[in-house]
Amino acid sequence: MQKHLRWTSVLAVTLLALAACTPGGQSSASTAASAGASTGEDPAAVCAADEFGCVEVGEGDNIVIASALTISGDTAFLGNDSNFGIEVGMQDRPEIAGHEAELVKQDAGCGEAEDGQTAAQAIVADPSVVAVIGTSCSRTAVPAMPVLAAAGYTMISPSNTAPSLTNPDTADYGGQFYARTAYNDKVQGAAVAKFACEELQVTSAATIHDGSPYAEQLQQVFADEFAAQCGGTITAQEAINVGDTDMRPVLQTIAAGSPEFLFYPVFDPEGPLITLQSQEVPGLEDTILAGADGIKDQGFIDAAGELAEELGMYFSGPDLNFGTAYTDDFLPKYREISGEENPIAPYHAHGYDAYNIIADAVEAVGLTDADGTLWIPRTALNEYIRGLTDFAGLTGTLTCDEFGDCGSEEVSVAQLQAGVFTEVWTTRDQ
Amino acid sequence: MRIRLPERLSLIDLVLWALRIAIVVGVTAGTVATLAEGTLQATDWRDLLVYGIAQGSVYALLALGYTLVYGVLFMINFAHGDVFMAGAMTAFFVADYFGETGFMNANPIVALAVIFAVSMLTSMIVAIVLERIAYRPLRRAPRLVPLITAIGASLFIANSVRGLFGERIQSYPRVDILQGRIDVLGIPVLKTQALVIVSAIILMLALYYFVERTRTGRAMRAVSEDKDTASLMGIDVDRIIVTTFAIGGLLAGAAGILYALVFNQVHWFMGFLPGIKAFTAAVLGGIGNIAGAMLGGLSLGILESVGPYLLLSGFNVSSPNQLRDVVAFTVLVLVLVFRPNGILGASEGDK
Amino acid sequence: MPAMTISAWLRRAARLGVVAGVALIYLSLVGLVGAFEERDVVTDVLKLGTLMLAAVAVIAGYRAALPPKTAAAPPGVMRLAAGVLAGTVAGAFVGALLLLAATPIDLQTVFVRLNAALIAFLSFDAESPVVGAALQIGLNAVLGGVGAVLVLLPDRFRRPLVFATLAVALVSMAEPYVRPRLDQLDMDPIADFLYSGHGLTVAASVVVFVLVTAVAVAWAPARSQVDRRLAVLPAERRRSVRFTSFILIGLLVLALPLITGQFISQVLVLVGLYLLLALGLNIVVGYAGLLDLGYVAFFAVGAYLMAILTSADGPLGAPMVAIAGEQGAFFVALPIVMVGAALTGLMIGAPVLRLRGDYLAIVTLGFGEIARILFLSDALEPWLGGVQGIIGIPSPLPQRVDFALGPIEISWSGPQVIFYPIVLFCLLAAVVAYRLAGSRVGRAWNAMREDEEVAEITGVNTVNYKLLAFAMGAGLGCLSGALFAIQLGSVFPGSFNVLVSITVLAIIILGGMGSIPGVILGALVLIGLPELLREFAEYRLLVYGGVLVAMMLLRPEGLIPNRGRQRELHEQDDEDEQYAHEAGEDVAKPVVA
Repeated sequence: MQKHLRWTSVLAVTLLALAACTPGGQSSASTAASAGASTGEDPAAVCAADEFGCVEVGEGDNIVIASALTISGDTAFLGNDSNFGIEVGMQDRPEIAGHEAELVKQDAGCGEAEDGQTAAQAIVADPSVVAVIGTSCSRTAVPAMPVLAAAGYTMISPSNTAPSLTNPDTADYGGQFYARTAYNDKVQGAAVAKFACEELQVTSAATIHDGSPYAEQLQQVFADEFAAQCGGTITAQEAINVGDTDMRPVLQTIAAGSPEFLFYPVFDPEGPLITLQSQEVPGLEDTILAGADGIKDQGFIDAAGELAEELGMYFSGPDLNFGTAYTDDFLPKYREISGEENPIAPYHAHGYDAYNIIADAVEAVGLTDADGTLWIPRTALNEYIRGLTDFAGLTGTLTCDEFGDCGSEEVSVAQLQAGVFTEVWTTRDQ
Repeated sequence: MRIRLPERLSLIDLVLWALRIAIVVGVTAGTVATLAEGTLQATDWRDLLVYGIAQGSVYALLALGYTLVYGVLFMINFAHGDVFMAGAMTAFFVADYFGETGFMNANPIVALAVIFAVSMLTSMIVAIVLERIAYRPLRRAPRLVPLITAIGASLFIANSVRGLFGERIQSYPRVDILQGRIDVLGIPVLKTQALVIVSAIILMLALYYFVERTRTGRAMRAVSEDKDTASLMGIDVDRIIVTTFAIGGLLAGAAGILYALVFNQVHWFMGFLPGIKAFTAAVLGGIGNIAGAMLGGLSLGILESVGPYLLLSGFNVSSPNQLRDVVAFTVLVLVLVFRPNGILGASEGDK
Repeated sequence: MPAMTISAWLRRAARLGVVAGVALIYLSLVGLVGAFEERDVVTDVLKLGTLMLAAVAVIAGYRAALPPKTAAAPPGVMRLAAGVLAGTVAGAFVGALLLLAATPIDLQTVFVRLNAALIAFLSFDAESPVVGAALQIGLNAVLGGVGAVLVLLPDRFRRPLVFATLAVALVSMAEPYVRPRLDQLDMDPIADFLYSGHGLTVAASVVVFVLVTAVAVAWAPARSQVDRRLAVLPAERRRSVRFTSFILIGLLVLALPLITGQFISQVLVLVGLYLLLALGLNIVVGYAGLLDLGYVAFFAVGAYLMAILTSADGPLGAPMVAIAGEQGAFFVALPIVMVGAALTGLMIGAPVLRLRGDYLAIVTLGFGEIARILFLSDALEPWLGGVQGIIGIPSPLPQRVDFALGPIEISWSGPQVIFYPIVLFCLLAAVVAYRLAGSRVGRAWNAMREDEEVAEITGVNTVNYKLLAFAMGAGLGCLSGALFAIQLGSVFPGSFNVLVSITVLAIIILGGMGSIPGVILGALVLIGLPELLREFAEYRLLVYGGVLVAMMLLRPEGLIPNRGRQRELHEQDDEDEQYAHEAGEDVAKPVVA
């Protein structure tokens, strides 16, 4: 014990001396700004007026954008996909307002909310970060937003779809500094219900979720809409656990209600397992199966693709008919950067758009002074993004509503044909 | 030699009695209410029972590994579930190769035999290495020490497999001859499930014969009774312990392939839950008892497939199947509280 | 002692080389090398991946050159030769891997991390695999030799060199956190001198290396002198020296958020929460010897109780806020949470505490899973929020605190604020645990842990003492959960999985069961380091598993052992009859004792 004490006391004295020298808090940007501005406005005055001050990008310095996605563990494919999209965006547009763009990747995880908060803390600790692209999972966005909002950092999510994040009546509400290029699952759930009602003309349906907020909210929206749009009956709303393998018991109990349509917006490996085992349970042979974007990936095709193709299973997801700019220009670059033959998840184009929205915003509100230093007022940046109208993005023409929903509302339903997801129905055509 | 509980524990006894009564009332009420609802037909219940037996057979094979090791070393080999995973994951590459070259469906019997052999051998090697590196040096350590080592080994094996083979979920190729159902006494049973049940029975009979009839089996029983006496009688205790781990590994490897054939998918984390469940099964049946492991496995399997719906649906609990593991673990707790030696464990305790 | 024969000596070295070779291949194939090959230690000169591989060969050479325990040490040349041989053999394994990878056999379908980038890295970008293999063998031979030279060096130089290498790695790893902080504090020139890109500059690494070596070399004699001075001081003075040290440590801890900024403070907050959990589990496992694998259940109960009592989103509509307002709700709720915690501990504990140790472990594991699923379930959604959790938990603390301390203006926000109550609670918990360990209760736990039957016979009411340990552990677990809830402002079932229990267990095993300083060190290493080294995140569990096994095999008493425990764990080594006794007793004894 004595030994440790001695060591630490030496350390303590040094560090205390260091602490005494530190000025409190962040140096305020306004005092550092020099007087002569090259543009019409005076950066010093603008930054002083801005509640959260300015990001200062010296001449030759990079513009730093952070991503807070899930990049490790089982859900890494989701975050990596969006990161690849951002990187394609950076390749297309390497400079913003005359400064090179730099991406700092933080891992915000997916299942554990505190990872989102920790990533947010890491981001706000770096005053050079202009804006954030994240998070992958709705769960991690909830505790991240208060941290980011307190420091005036705007976050655009490429893949949060939970309705509550843009609903001011819930405690999940992301607030002024939150926006997303992904659609709200209210849209997806309603579209699937519409598809079931009008295209398939079924009158009864059952749902399964896996205890993830995404699945739980999406199946609930579907169930409500299915009843509201065509008076359909929901025979069962069941749940499984991540890690379950024997789905037959739950399917057997669902089969007892003989639903015509079974919607299970879950992930791999539970999604393929449900598909495979549905055919082993008497009573579900004629039920139409449908999943959502959580299983619209290569993992599902490997595991249950053949059977799903045979059964004509449906998969809802964002409408990826982004036209030739997507297929001819974006995808080859995506392949080159990711080393993957096909996109590993559906949210790369949304990351690409998020990057470009931030770039547009910086160029619109940034002020360059006589020294070549770029000043980016945070509040103005946020107002630009939240006020976005008719942005010509890869995913469509985007306009933000008053709660931060900026995503294209087009949803498609696909089937597997020759091992590839092929769209058979879109809201665009309706 | 149950120690008589002194007066001061009467409060706990009271609690236990209240618990007993609550369980009986709850189970009866739930069952009656569910059956009264009449949502599921008799054939549905029968099918649920079959699923339970198939799932239970896999648990039983795994439970044997726990029981054997526990019988000899009195330690919980927490990493046994990962031994099971390692076999199935390694054999995947062979199966995948067979699937791609078409050998799997051209020569299904040979292909399956090879896959079984690879899986069983891999699991056996992992089990032996585990014993040699992680457990043998700790035989004389206090009880907690090898248990903590086993937990560490479990994490280490699972995450090594994840690192080496990747974290994606691997799909076993489908075997055509195992598709569809066969009729057993008028009950349609999936062929994969029939295979699981039959293989499990064969392996268990073989094990029973081995332990009861062969020289090594007798030595194993001697070691499990008393290591020092056994070693005085010229039995190589180390060799017997390694053999025990090897047999546990072989059974786990077989269980791994059966699992893969039923569920078509394997991944690095698949050992954790089945491992815990199998241990639960072993305790349920009476740990250290081979027949008990079989019985425990089947009971747990049936309980998991029938239990949640039967017990909870009557109370209008939403999504009862989500609570499957709650039912399983609650039963484990109750068994340990009220019948700590398991269903067949009474004779074991008197030994 | 007779000297070993040359061939035996070299065989031993070759064996170590094989082990090192397998380790090198494992590290490469499992992806650890790949994860660190991007990370610079010294920009453009040294990567972390290189350093990791080099360490294996150096350690192998070092071990090979160590004099054997049972025989006389061979001459220096032979020891150097052993080091080189071990390195060469290890290098040959990597070389063989490179040659194998160059054949048409497609290894990457099985070993996914064996990609072109890894092969290029391992063969130093050489085009030909033969050149790559030769380079590996040569380099590893040299590194093995370096390891052997370390053995031959006198102690007072060896340690400083190792320290200095570690220091260079650490300073470089801290770049993402130190650099922005230095910028914030307007110390850009220092930052620019230290770092370029994401690693150290060559000049800075030389300076750090030399500086640390010099200080460490100089420190050794100074230390023994201080030790001698302290030893001759009267007891009273020694106590006051110790008291001053404690005060200094305390001041240091209090100043940490100021020096380190927001992100490190956030990491420290997480360390603090886990430290509280570990202190609690330490009472259960370390003191009372009951292995609880479902400790996360208490963490969850604490968080959820706090949420239900104070959140408007909860089922009760924030009763505590109605009573005491947003700021006060926490304080009113806290006692209720603690009582609830202790009751939960008793409820879980009472039926199962009579079970034998390893059964208890599995049952508690089951309880952990039951808790997780119940908190997540649709069935209890009206009360516990189900998947969506409970949000909007008010914090008793302000978002920002600004004040002036003399001439220094201090401004804290977020984690820098909550850091202080967490430190306070950790301190309280540590003091309580420390006091308990020395009290009658602590001695009863000791007796019970060492031999339950003897303890029972000598009049220790083991059931009561076990319940007490369980309740205390539950209390600390719930306290940590309650703090976690206000810190996050929300609770979600996803945060409470079995990995939390295992992480906490790993902390106390690494630090030392029953040892409070050990637990603190364990929390810093196992929670703090992975947060700072994000490349590590994927391999965190692999490392936890390795730590558990390695500690149990090599140092079961932990890094900073508790004296009593150390004796206990080592006296078993030479007590043969202990084993027979235990085994025999287990057969005879039913599960309930």
